[in-house]
Amino acid sequence: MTVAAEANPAEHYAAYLGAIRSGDRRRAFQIIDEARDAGLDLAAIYLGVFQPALREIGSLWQNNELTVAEEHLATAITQAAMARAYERAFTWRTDGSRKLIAACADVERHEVGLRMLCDLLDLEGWHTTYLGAAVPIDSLVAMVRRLRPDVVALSAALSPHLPRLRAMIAAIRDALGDTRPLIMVGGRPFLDDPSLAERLGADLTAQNATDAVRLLGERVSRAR
Amino acid sequence: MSETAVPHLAPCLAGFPAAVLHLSAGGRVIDSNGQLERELRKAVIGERFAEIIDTESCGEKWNRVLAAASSTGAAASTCELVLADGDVILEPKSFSVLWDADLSIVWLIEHPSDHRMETVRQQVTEVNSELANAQRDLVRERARLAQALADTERSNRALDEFAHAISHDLKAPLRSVANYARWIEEDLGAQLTGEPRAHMELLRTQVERMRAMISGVLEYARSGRVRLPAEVVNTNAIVEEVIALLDPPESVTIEAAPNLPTLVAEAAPLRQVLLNLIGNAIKHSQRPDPHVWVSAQDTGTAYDFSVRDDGPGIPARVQDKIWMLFHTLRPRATQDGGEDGTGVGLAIVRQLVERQGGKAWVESQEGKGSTFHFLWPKQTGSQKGDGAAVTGKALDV
Repeated sequence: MTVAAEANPAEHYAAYLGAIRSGDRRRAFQIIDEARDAGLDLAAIYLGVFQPALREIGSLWQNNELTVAEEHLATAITQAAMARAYERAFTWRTDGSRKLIAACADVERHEVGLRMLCDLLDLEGWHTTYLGAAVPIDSLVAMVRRLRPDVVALSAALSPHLPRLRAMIAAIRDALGDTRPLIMVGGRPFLDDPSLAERLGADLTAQNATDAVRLLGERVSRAR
Repeated sequence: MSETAVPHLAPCLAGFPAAVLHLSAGGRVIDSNGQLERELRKAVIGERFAEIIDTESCGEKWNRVLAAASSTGAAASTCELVLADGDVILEPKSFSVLWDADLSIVWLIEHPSDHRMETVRQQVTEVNSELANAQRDLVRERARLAQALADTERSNRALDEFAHAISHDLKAPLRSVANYARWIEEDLGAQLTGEPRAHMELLRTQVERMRAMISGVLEYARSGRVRLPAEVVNTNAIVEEVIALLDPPESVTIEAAPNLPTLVAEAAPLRQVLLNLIGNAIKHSQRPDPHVWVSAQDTGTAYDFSVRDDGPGIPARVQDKIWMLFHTLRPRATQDGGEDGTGVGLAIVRQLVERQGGKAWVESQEGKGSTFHFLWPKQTGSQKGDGAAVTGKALDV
């Protein structure tokens, strides 16, 4: 195990990428455990290890160096590694007053980003409900009506999914009018063009999960 | 070379369960076996192939593959592409890209996918996601329970402290009441006769009773709090200690079975439980020659101790109530010679036994005596003689 004088995600990132590239689940878990032991907190692991590793996996696919099957395996391992890191980090301190519902617009499963947001908000004391990928719009609206969240977070990994995202936002606006929750969007298309969020009818977007946590902390007060 | 001169696909390829295309060197679709049209719901012949792939994810990749094919003359490569048109976006497809240098055309042959495998993959993904949700719910629930446990322990401690403070504070004014009563008696001397004298005695009795109750509260609070290291305990020896402590009159017979167990346990609470039960049996016997039997049975995971008496028995309707704090069948026991009628003894028994993970109950019929049982769980090997481990056990539940 490497000894990190100051916790630096970069070295763990390289080792982690190697492990998920070769589909080595146990090695990947071990690296994350070591990163925790070296003093990295959950946000640092999510943004310094998982996020760049999965982006790199995506680039490798784009470069024809990896198959979709390998990409799926890397994502699945990362989902499990996230759950493991989350388990070690979580301490109960919900104030119960701030609620968020998260859903992917995608029919495919680029859901890791939203999962990161939910996990980090949980640690901040939020109550989050993660609905997953390809949620029917009707179900999403029904869920929002029932749970009355402060925020609905929606993500789209690819621009062809943006029309569906717009339809989701419009359905929430129509159904709840002035009482609607804050609508946050994220995903690769918004990294390139943040103004897209407003054009689709959303209230805000963020560059990554920690930015989103900070922005939501500013916009949503603890006591309603 | 003109695109029209290129040969068309054999008609039988229409039955191939995946896309087969050929493209001009410039990347335009010349012919298709019809699969892609069905999936994209549009005609593709004549289109530039680059326009029906998802540019964002695959544009550059496709350009590189095409350039490599025509410049290096490589016979074949494999390439995964996402095809899309407007709102329609297809799952990634794997193609063999074959470069026919003589004809300057590119053949694209999709690797047929097994739809059963696709279904399996999709379901695995969904299950994976559900598992991740369930796992987080579990983590949150576990953390909530740990918090609730900590809260409970804190409030228990606060209650103990409260009981301690209250008992302590109540004793001072009570001592004053007792003192004033004694002074009044002394001042009045021989003048105190008849009913006033009787009232004065009742006053003293009640003060004494209240003092005993306050001590009982203290004892009860303490019995729930203190944990001691476990040790090897011989129950027969404990019963002998208890008899010595009670020092009963000669008319009382206490019979302990000779084979009472030797076990690993906290000695003090076990001694206290036996003391309270045997003491009660004598105290409430209502006969000149009380008889008490102590025995135990090994149930495998615990010892089932019993203390039987030949006293008056306990009516069924109050058998639950006797375990409650300050509930006693004979509140005026102090007046007819008993030394303790506060109703604390059995409450302490139950609390001590339950602290060990056991339980206490009574079997009785009016006029036929009573048998008090308590289950004392055996300790597992890792806890033997280890006070810290024993204390830890309570937190592990």
